[in-house]
Amino acid sequence: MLEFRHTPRSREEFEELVLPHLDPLYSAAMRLTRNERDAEDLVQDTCMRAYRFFDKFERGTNIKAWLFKILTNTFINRYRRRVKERSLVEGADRASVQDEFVSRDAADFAANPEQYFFDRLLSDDVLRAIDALPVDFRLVVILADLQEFSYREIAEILDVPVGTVMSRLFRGRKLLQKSLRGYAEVAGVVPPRDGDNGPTDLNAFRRRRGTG
Amino acid sequence: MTCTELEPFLQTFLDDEFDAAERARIEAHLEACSACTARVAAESSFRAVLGRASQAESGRRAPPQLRARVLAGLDAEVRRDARAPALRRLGLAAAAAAGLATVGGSLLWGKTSPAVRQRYVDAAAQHHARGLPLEISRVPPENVEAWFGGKLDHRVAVPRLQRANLAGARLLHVQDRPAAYLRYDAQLPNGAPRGVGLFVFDDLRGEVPAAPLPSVEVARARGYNVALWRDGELVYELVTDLDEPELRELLPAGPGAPAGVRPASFSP
Repeated sequence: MLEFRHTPRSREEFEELVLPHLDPLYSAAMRLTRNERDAEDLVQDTCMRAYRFFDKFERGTNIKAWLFKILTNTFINRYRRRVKERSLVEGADRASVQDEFVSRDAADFAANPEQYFFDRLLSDDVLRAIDALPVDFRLVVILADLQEFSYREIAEILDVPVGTVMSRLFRGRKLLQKSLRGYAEVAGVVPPRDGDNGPTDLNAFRRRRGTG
Repeated sequence: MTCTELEPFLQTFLDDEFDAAERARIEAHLEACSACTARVAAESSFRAVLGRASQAESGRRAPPQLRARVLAGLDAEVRRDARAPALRRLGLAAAAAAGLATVGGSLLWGKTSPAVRQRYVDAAAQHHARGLPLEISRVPPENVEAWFGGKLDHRVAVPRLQRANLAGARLLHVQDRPAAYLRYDAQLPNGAPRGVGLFVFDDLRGEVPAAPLPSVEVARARGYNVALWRDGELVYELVTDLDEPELRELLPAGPGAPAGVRPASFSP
């Protein structure tokens, strides 16, 4: 494995394929590490790893998803410990977070048109709110809503089932809405609602619909 | 379709993750249901603000110094790759024969604390001495490599040692670093097989004072000789009760030498 793995030609190819993604990688790294120095280190580590394993990249497949997989793996393995983030154990995903976020949902806004405060929010508020999310939710929100990956791509990047992506995304966005509501300093005028169920199972939905 | 059925999947609908037939059914329901339509509208206004944030983020540029660092890092990688095979072919065998390897090591790592290195040497010797049961044994190296799949941050490739056969493997830690532990039986002329342990762990940030190949340093701890070297992000520690010249004969020679460990499944 120590033979000439990278000829000048493959370095050229690497630069051509990877460097255009430096900006989105840095953007995601900023949201993950929440400071410029760590973000730069994370992107640097990601690029060096990507180069070393460039022969593992299947030409013609999605390079951005491949790079983000390396970025998130590197972040989870190296940086998460350092920034001392509490890891959400499996299962807590469901129970504890449900206690945290409000049981109201989007329908409340429909019932209270004056609550369309989202329009007045600044992007900076939204980014700050994303930064404050627990890391498992932050990851999916960054990948889905800032980087616009599909469920399937996110599942592959994070190496989790699509159902887990859906569930974390659902809950992550609810948490986000809750804290944005806080930013907007809207008084709690909306009544609590029951049945704030997250996505259960897309296949079950399809079976019920008879479309699966 | 009822509102209750649809509600948990409104986000999925807005994420455009349904196929055409599913969309048609949902849209049919929305046409008839003002409550769900209102929910979609509210959710959409939230998405719109997320979309603006996303657009703001997409304008974020990597700082010029980061771009320069990446390019410099690539230069270093290219130089390393170009140099490595020749150096390794000549270097490892020649340095080992001349007993010079540790000189290169101390030159390169003279400034880092010998105490830190000794802690890693100690930890490896201590774990090896415990003789913990192997988790997988009596199978070909490929099966051992497969067994490690997903258990560590990196993929494990079993180095082929001279005059030694792989006995088995397990997971261990070296100073809090998860490590692959490979045990070999070394067969030296006129002697019974001797156990040899090889720890492999990754050290992305170069925190472990181990000299890069072709240098291989040998230190003593707890009555064992411990050979320590680095290959890129990986640190290797070979522990044995053989004496140093015998130990050096075990070391994998040539450019294909201590095979690396790669991050698991990088193909998206």
